[in-house]
Amino acid sequence: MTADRDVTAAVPEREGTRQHFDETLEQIKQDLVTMGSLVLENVRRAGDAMVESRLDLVEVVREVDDQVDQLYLEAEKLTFETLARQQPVAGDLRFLVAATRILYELERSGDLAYNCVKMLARVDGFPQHPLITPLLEASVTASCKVFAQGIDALADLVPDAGAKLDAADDEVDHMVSELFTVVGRHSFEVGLEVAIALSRVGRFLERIADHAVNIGEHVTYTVTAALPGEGHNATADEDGG
Amino acid sequence: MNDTTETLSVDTADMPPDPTLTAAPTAMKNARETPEEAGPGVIETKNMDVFYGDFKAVADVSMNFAFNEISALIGPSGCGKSTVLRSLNRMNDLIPTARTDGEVLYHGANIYAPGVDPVEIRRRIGMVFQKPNPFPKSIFDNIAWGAKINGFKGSKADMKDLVEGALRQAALWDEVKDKLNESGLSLSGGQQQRLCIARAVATQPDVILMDEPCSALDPIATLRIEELMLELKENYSIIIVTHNMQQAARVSDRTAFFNVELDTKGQRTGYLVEFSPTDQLFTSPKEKATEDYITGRFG
Amino acid sequence: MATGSDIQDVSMEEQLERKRRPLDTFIVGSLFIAGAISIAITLGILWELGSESLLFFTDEVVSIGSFFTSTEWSPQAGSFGIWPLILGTLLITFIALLVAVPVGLSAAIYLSEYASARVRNFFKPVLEILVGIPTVVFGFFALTFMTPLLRSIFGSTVGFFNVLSAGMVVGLLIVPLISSLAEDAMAAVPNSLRQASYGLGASRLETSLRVVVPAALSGIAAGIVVAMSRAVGETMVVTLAAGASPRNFSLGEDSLFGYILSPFEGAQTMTGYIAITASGDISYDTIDYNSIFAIGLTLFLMTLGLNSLSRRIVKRFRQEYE
Repeated sequence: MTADRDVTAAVPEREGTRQHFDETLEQIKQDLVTMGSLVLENVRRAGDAMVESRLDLVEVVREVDDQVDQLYLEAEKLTFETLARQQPVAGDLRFLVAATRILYELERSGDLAYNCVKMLARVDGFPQHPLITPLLEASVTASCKVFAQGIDALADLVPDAGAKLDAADDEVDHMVSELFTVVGRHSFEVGLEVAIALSRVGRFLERIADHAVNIGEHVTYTVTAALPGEGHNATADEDGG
Repeated sequence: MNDTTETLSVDTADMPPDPTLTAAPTAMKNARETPEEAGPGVIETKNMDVFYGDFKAVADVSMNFAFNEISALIGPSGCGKSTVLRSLNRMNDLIPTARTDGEVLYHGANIYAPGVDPVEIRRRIGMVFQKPNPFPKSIFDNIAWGAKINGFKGSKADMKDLVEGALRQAALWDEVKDKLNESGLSLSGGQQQRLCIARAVATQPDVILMDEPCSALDPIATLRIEELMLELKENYSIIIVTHNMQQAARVSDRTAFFNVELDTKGQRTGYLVEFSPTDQLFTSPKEKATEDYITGRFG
Repeated sequence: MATGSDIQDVSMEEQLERKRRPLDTFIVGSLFIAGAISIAITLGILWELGSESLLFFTDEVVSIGSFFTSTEWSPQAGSFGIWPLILGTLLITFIALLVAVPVGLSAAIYLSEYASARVRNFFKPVLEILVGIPTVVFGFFALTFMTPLLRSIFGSTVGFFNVLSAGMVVGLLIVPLISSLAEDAMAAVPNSLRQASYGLGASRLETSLRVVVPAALSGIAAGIVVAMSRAVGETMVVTLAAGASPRNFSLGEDSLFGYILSPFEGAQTMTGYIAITASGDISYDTIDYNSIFAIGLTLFLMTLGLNSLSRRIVKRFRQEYE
């Protein structure tokens, strides 16, 4: 007779009836949060680059954005495979559908951060200006704050994320609008090209916050199945390159 | 006389899309009536309990099945969904110890009232079973039989028309029209089940009950029967029990989720958890128990 | 971790090799021998019948032709036509079936489709008691109860020995055979067919008669043929109640319903003749004695024919449910 093989060692502990599926869903959420963190960090980096006019950071921002794009491809693939294979319904389905949308918002936000430093590079750095620079920094801070809130809402699956972020976004709009005004008023002091670049940057920062609001709304949908009452969707115009 | 179409000089394709039409179709769906608001359906149960001897198999079921819809009953084993189905056409009467309390209204009349003939009920509320069970007679006789015992008065030609009509309704005519005299058992599993459906519609019911009709069939045969159900619902009201949730999701208009609970004596009694429109139940069900069941996180 | 192929000294082919199982071989051999013995015995009987019958047929008094065509069986007069005896056997079998089939079938339908478990558990054993009653008792029952009863109903046209009385009692005797086999056949009809029938709005009676019985028909038919074979072979009752006079007839002269097929007269059956002749004081190797074997052979062949008929009927009517 052959010796008995110890097969029990191979059998892992199982809890719950869909352990593998739950792990996959958790993995996807983690990927989203990781992506979000990378993007957030990159926006801050872009902000530092613009405020301190550090052209050496441009390359770093680009590399990090490449990482974000890579993570996007992997996470999207996993999400679609899971949709195909697991026949998800109800909460699971809402989460996966929302995940595909959140992936899009994150990827676009990442690109927007890179676009900011591209503007910086194009005009060879922003000159310091007593009025403009603080406003620029404030705009970046405001945008990052909203974006961070969006990622936290995602990580914690907060039910009223959409409403909360929508409210927080007002500050960003306000800040950026002030930036436009000041830049416009002092455009000759910094030069027309810089002024145009700065106004585009302002736009990008505003849109990063908008993407964060969308993320909040997708989170609300996942948790409560409520679709946004008044669709505050991402704007349809093309972003610059 | 003027042709009235000539007065429409605007080509509707040029008009901008009507915003109220393209806006959230969900808004329209959310306004759909609840079963109560829609008025009594073809079958309505009121506080129905079903007992086998002393054992309460199903407790306090109140449901309203709408006309010309497909209603699906889902739930874990032992939750009583088949018991509920079989009490809708008094098939439970065949089990000696079975007893049904409460009311089951068919077009408003309680089918459990004393003096009601269960045989007549079963002519009007047909049934298709889990394992196809055609009679060991010819295909023609399988279908003619039900009509005959229910007092079919007509010529041979009328009977032929009836049989052809039933087979067409079951999407089986083209496959068997040249072999009506062959045994019903010579058909494949999926065809046999369609034969059973044809046999059921031959008695001209207005409700068809189906007890896991596809669980003995392969996936392709299953999909054909599902297509058939969608066609049949134009003329019949269909109630199906299925343990395949995706089938309920694909096919039904409304889905009922039954669960089982242990009482103090250790008896397992089934009860209705929720009965909602299918699209709502599978995207955001009302009850957590429902969500746990359909996402597979039960127990 | 040891795996199957780790054991070096025994190759995989050797491990998979068919093992010798001597006990299996022994048992299978014994079973075969038992079956062979049964066949051997049957062949032995056939041989015995055949060889003794040969003695009968080669006797100068007998001609095979007249054995099979003559309608007079009077051994003392030298007539050995078998038809009167066959007539007796067939008359009694026919009457027996006339009684047993309706009664047996009805009982079977009731037990299978209508009776509750309690009723069935009481009724079935009672029916089977009939099987336990010795046939000689049935014979006397026919003689001392049945015949007087018939005489009181039909008057004195009923003879003291008559086939009606014997036939009816044989019928009673074979009722359990039919009811038991028919009930088994109906129980074998899958419940899903009954459910389908009820689902279409059929009553219990309609379901029993128009779904279950047709589906069980081959089994029921087989039961009837078994009962028929039994009736053909019944010896005791017919010997006692049907009398010892062969119903000799001639087709042209005797009235068909008044005499030839009359139930009120006695008629010796093939089995009755064998019983009387074998237990009498006829000496061995006389022609009378050898005639027993010829009749026995005829009986054997008749039963064989009935059995193969039964198999054919079963095959023809068998309805497959799966």
